[in-house]
Amino acid sequence: MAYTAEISRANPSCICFILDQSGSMADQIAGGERRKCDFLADAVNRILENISVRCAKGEEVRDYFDIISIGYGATVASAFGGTLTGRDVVSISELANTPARIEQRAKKADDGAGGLVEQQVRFPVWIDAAANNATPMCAAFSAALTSVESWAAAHRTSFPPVVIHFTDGESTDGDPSEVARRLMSVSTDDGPALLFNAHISARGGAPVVFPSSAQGLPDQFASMLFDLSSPLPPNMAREAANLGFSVSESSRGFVYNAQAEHIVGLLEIGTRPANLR
Amino acid sequence: MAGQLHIRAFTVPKAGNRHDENEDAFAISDDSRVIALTDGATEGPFSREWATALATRFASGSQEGAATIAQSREAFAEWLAGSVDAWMAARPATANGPAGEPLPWYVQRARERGGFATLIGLYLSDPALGSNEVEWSAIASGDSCLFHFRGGQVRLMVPRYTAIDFLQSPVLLSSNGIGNREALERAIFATDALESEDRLVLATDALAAWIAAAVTEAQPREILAALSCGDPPSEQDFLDFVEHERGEGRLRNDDTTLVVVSRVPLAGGG
Repeated sequence: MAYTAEISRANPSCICFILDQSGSMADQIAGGERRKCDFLADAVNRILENISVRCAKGEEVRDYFDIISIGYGATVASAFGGTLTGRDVVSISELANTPARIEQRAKKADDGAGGLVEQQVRFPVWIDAAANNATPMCAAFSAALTSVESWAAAHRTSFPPVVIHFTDGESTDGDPSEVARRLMSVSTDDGPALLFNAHISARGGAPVVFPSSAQGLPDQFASMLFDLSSPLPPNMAREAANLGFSVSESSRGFVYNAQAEHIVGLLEIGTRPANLR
Repeated sequence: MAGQLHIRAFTVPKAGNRHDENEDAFAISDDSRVIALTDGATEGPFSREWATALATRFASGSQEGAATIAQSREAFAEWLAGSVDAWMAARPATANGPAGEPLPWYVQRARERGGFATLIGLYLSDPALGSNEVEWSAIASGDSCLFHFRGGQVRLMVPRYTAIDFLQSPVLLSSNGIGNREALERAIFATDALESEDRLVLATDALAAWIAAAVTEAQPREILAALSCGDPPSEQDFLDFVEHERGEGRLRNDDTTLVVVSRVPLAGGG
């Protein structure tokens, strides 16, 4: 049965983020006051932080995951900053030890008396927001394909790679369908790679969350992204249900007109592929 | 001696893991009257250490203390709060490293998150002078289980879990105190007499689910018979059983711990 491989140090899994960094990502996110690129960078940094802590045993981060992060806009390149700039595949322990910087952020916390108190917390940053130029989606998928193919070839018995793509617009370098399908056909012995897509909305409009058919999607672009999205394996569907999303057995890892909560939700679901050993 | 207790306890890590990665723990007091079994949850960075700390703290306290904790929700709440305080004092999330440098950010986060564990805390009374009666009391939190066998039959299972219950995530005791109110509300307290031929079996969830299924379904019952009233397994028997049943898909691949308590001597040096 596919998608049942246990994740361990001997059998790590791989998570690949593909992040649209085109000019329109500087627009405000629907339902919020922040730029889409700022929100997305923060959400990915926070999920990298969560994955690191989930992989911590005692005071050591265990290598249960390899992480790939590709940004596309003015260029198509690794989205990591700092000493990881230009790096392709980075183990989670190396990632935890080398954020580009650690910021102090304010966080509201329970004051123990029914109120909230503002605390300063350390916030590790690996990926900076960017919003420039066009939307070379085909080139981004090609870069992901190269990295994910070589990772899968070296990890035949592992849970297959999970690729999570965020975009706010249509491809400007052609139809990404073919290369995306090749990406979805990269396999380990535990099944084909999973590709999830989130289209981020600036205008609002009703979000379509984890649909099981393309019916009701507003245009061809949305239908294409639906076709290029993998069904959620049972573990992830369960995680989605736990997070309060309505899912069925044939739900795809796809959100259209995604708002802040859907971006965070998809990241949570896609980065919990199976039980850690 | 009427009140003497005989105990056999084994633990084995999940297949593929090393012994020092086993997140189950048990502790037995010197006089064998206080026994704790815990199962640390994978999600916590410090679950192994927290499980060990809980088991050790329960079994190393006084008999009277253990008796009270195993019989009173208030006493258990106080004991748990003390356990959390001791844990936090030993691993402050704001502390610096040995040379005064700030802890790596992920160590700070891991310490904040801490550990999560189940607990079975068992106390067995000394028989009063001239009496043959032993009474046991237990507090159970999470999905580790205690089985009380009499005449080879399950007299009591604490908590009373079904196959479906074992598939749910249990509410666990946390080292940072968050969520412990719900765990306290759900903790189960039980007490009963332990007659001279009775047997108590404590098991972490994978084995507890196996025993619960073996009691009600057509599963291999030799081991069940051995656990419930016959000669309990030797360590090698236990390891062979675990490996075999995991291979057959009847025992979930998880850290697995067994404690058998009997009033009559256990064959094979138990």
